[in-house]
Amino acid sequence: MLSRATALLLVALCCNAVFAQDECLFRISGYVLDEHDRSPLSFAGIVEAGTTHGVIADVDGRYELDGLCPGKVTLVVSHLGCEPDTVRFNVTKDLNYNFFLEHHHEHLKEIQVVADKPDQVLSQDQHELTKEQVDRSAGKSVADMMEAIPGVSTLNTGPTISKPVVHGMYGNRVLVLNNGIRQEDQQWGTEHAPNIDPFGGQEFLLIKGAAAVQYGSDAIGGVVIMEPADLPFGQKVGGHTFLVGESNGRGGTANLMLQGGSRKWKHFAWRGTLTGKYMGDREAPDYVLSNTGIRDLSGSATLGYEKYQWGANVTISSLQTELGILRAAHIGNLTDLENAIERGEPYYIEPFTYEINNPRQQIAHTTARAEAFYRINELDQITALYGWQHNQRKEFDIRRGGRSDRPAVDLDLETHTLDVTYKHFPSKRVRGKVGVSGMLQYNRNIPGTGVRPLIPFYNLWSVGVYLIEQYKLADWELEVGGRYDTRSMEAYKFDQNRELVRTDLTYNNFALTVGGVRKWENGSEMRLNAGTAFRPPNPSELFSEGLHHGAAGIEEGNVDLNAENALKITVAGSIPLFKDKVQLHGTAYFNQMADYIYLEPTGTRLTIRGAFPVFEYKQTDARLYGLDLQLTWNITMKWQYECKAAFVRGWDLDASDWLIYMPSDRVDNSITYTVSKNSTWKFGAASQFVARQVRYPRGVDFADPPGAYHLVNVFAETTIPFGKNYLKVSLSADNLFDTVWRDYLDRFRYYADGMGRNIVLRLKYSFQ
Amino acid sequence: MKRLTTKTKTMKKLSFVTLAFVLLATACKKDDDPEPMQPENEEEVITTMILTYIDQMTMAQKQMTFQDLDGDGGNAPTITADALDAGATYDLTILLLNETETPADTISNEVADEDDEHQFFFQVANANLSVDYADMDGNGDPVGLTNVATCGAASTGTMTVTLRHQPNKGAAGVSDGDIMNAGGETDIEVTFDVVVQ
Repeated sequence: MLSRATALLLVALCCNAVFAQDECLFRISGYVLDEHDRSPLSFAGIVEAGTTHGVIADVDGRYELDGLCPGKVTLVVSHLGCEPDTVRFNVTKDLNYNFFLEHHHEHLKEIQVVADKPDQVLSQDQHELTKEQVDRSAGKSVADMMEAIPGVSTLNTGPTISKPVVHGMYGNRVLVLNNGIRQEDQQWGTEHAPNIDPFGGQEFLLIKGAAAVQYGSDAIGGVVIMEPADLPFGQKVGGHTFLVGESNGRGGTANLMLQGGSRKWKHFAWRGTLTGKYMGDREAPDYVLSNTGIRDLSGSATLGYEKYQWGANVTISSLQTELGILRAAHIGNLTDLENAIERGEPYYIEPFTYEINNPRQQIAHTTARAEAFYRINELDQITALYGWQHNQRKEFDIRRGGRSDRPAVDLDLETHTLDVTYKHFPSKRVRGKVGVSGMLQYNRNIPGTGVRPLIPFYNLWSVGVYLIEQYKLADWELEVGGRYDTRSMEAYKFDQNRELVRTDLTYNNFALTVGGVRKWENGSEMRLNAGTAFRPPNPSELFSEGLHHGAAGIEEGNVDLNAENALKITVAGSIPLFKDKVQLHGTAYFNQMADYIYLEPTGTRLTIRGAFPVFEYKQTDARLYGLDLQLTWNITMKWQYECKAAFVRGWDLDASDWLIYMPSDRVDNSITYTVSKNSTWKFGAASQFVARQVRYPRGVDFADPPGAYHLVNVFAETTIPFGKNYLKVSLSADNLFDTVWRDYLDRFRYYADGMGRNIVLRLKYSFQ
Repeated sequence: MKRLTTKTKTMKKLSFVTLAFVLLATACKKDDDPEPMQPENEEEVITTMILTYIDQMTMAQKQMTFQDLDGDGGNAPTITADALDAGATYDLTILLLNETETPADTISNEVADEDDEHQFFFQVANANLSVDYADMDGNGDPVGLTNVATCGAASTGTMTVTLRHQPNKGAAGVSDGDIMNAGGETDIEVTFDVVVQ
């Protein structure tokens, strides 16, 4: 029994334990509780087996054990009058674990795992970035970071804007959960990236299935979850600072995180972060990508109060971004686009500059969140999370008559969310969660743009209730859940005759999930899940009307669109082979979508700018299916090889044709060399191969998909300890050979090549 | 039994929270600006382009017009073109209007104000018609608001009038009216039927 529970924790938390060795910097924390009445066991001892490395829990039963090395760690927990307990962990990151000890001397009992965070959907395939992967991608956007997970790619609009693509789904079909709150930041188009500072998170988790039951609408393709670390209650002031310098763009990123608790005020803890980014024009191998600079400034402050019985925390964070849009991609009509494609090289190539000119975007995103939990009894817990988000988006275009200083798009989106969750353990075998979530959202167009707004003025509210229960059998753990949502929207728009038209829309949806996990003694596991998810059409799909500048097309929305419904079946398994030397993980999925919303070319329209293709938002039935594979091979203690591959197929059932903009097949191979067991020096090389997309609808896109490409990245890194503190230095080169490439899912592939060689120096100093 | 009581209590608490939230969600409508007040004026729309040809000898006037009063979408634009006289030489001027506003906004004035950032191009196919620039911006580069159009023998064909914003006027051939290397983005691209008789 014990090993199964342990294995469950192992797999849940560390699907991709990729790199074998790291510094001993990890922490396991949690509570030691009595299994029967869940009362805290004060002053229990927790010791790493076979060592003297240990810690004593406090009066509330809370413990924190630092200095754990990555890999397999065995902890022995003991308390007066209790049977000592032994639990094996596979440490790849900081863990949260509660021990339950038996006061009576009976047989070795079952351990119940209370996984407090991240909240998991048990039977869904999930991947978490390792601490090393997070450190190695410092300075990148969240979407680019997630690309390390097989099955994830990015949809780009030039080098400054990228959105995550999960199993062929992107935009509103991938939900982003930032610190428990659904990110609501005007993801209307491909040129709108999620406004998130990745330094605000420490845990980056991807759920690959349809997870609407727990997270609500939009989770059709998957869920990207970003969570900060636990607050350091009872600890001294510590933190870390990152400095990242990049040769391509000739700029960098700096981040400072400070956090602390207090021995005296041990129930209080705080954290503050500050991040700044300053980049100039990026460069393709043969030319400067003019006007692709970016500036970011973001900060956050958190204060938490936590006792065993209850706790609360508040966070305020703010992000300011200004980013340039590739100047050469600013076009007026179809002839311009065709000229750009034929020419192959951008029209505008200016010398490198840090300056950002029009077209550009200016975005401010402010979030305030407050969270509180209350333990009704030792296991049952109620949590309330309120979030307020304010997103201001201004887009500046190249305009006539001195209007370039006035935004052409000026939107103000305000969102309130409230989630109340009740976690319960009605019996030893059953645990579950019931919750209510609600959202109020207001979109306002700030007057004075001189352009008819694309997204209407609207008020929206939605309420959802859900229940999800897990049942533990001998070999299986089963899961079943359901959700009901209702969403209403009132939208106001002036029509062509300048008359105000009000549209009222209501969507009601059910979602279901069933699944199970099967574990074997040898560490193999399999997860099966069938889940449904839904996505009401977003305002741009409903109300678009007119020319989409830059896309060289007229887009017509349709207020009669239904919500999309998806049924996604995922089967994921991992098998250790050759005495754990090889770890194989695979995910197969099948996503059947009813009323899949897409843009269909329906003709051409003559305007004063020339003739444009007209695209209308239509619905069809679609099927997406594919396979992700990951193989990790510890060849020797020093050498490690990893292979990742992803294949996606998207099929339009009504048209009997391929779906447009599906990621092409890709295979990544990497090898890592660790100099010795006592050295922190590590070297690695990775090759990324992306095939040409050959499965696309003919005659719809303006240009055929670009050819296959192959990029090589290398890195070297080491860690220098200074007592309890350490400095981590890494040097890497992305696109080492300055290869010329264009990606099918880069909307600016019509105009310019992708980024050339980028040499990046990353310094991380961690102190306490 | 004790456990059961706790549970009932919990359920009560939970239903209370649910109720409170539903009330909050429905009651708490933002009423400071329940609906938008003013439609946004589409300021950069060009609804109308008028090419006026004045015969240098006879002062007779001909026109070619493009008019799309409701902007993109809605009703299709109307395009008209008077026949030109064989052998005639015309002063050709271009007027751009935004007729969604009253009185109509003269967009060609904006082009004249930012003449260094704009240039018209005239691509004639088949017809015996040539257009030469007769104006220049502050840098001595052509703009194309004022031109000279010269007709040859009787013929028919087309002429595409293109207005580029922020073209590279220094690129090869651009100041001679060759659009090939001009770059920039297209604000206008209209094709007229040309009859020279």
